[in-house]
Amino acid sequence: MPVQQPQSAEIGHQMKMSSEEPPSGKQTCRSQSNCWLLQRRQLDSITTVLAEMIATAMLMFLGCMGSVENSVFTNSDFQSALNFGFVVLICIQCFGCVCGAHLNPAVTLATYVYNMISLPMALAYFVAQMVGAFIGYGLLKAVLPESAIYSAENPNGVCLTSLNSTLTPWQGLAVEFLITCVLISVCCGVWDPRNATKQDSLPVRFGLAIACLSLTAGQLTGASMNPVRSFAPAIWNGFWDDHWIYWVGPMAAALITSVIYKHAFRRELEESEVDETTMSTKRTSEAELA
Amino acid sequence: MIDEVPKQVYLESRKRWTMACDREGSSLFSVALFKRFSDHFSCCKVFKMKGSTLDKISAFLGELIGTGILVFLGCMGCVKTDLFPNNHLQIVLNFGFAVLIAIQCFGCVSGAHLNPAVTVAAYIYEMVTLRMAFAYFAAQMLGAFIGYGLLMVLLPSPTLTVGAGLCVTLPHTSVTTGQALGIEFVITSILVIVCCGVWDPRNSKFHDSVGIRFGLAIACLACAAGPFTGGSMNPARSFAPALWNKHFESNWIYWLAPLSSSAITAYAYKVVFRREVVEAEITSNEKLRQLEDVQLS
Repeated sequence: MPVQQPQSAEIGHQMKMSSEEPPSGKQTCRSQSNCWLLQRRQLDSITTVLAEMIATAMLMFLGCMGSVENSVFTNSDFQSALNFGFVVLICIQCFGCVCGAHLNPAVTLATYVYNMISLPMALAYFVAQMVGAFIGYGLLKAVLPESAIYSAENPNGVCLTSLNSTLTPWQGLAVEFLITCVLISVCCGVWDPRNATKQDSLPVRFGLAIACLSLTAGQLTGASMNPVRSFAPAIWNGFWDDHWIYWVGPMAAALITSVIYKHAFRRELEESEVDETTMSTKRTSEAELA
Repeated sequence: MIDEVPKQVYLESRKRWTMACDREGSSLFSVALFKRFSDHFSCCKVFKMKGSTLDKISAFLGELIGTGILVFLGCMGCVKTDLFPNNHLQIVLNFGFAVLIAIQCFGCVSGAHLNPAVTVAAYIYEMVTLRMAFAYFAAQMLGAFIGYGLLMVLLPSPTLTVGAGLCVTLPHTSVTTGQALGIEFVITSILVIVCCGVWDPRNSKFHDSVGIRFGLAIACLACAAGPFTGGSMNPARSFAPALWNKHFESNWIYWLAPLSSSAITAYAYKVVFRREVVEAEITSNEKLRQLEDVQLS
């Protein structure tokens, strides 16, 4: 049984597209989203999907390159997990403001449940992610020596997610389900209206969160959390053992967690909180003037 | 201070400050600060010219010292002998954190490019003039040279003579020339996309943690590509050790791939992904500021 490679992906960050018109006019975040939505053009939709594809390709290319391990190129589980976290940071920094950088059908499903994107756009994101992952892994095979792709440690191909031999398929499913629940909770926390103004270090937070999840579950199931991320190596290498786990676990977790978060935890900004936000901005202005 | 300035002049300078923020990206602070300063002394041409020149000189120095810091700290962290054990992860994290330090120190002074490839991208993105781009290039080469030279003075000689020389980047023997070129091209492409993402007008309000994001991004790219090509992405960083150790084989890879990748990627991002902040958004911000101004005065 080859040593499990901790691999993972995912994120999502997108301002809420609210059609509500705030009466006070002070609700900057909401009115910004509203204007953005109204002025979105056809070209924007195309570049959004294109960005999602490139971001997913980057995820696969860098993430899997950092997982290479054989007699010549040494590696460790810690290094691979950290690398994957940093890859996510890069993708969000590059395309977070363009397309939200989901990189993951599970995250896209969560955004759909959260009413942040339409169904056609969600499907377009899904296709872009599949194509991007396929291209990313293909690019990796093109630029790396054969001995880096297939080795004693990875006979079926580098970056292929598979179950640790000590786990049953149902245990693997449970692990993937639970870590994806955590990931989607992070996403929903980011999208919550109360966090609309706290987006600056989002890439860092997401990257480190992914690194943590990769470290915890990497040796058990490969910590995929992402059907696309597992699908690309599988299709390139023709290895499908227990592959269904990486579709059922993440997608079910995304659906369930986002629905629960949406109804149990999500809150719109209350009037007093709006005043507090404005007060905070005012205080900043005063400091600026001093 | 406020009372000494006519309200009209103050409001106008504030507006320009806002526009400067929207336009300038990572040069945000120095440009905004200078514009605000020059508004108050617009009648003094001599001072304005002097201020502008000083600004450019300090940007040059910032870039020189920043690159020196990068090479000095980065390459010092590459030391690996029997007496000083090391591993790949430690090396790449060290390089990432060295970038973090350099950006934190000089990000607001010169934009902390530290890399001719990033400067090429900035020129294509229209953030620096051609002359300034060449000045940045000279500063980076000189800074890297000095940084590595400082290492040669301060480190014991056994640490400097490992392999082709400490920190000299070479493709791994099992990687072909074409593959090495491809790897450097792609990872530099990704680095440039990170830069363009930071410079995008829609991100002009999110520069607080740029140093951390860049540092960790570099750590990732170096972690992924380090075993195969050294994960250089930076002609200056590869040229300095090569020059000091007189090992130039394959050095052309670290010039051709990063610079061409940078030019292509920056242009593509500019055409396809970059968007100006929509007018209504500015209007909302402006309105909010004016409300605050009225209440404050």
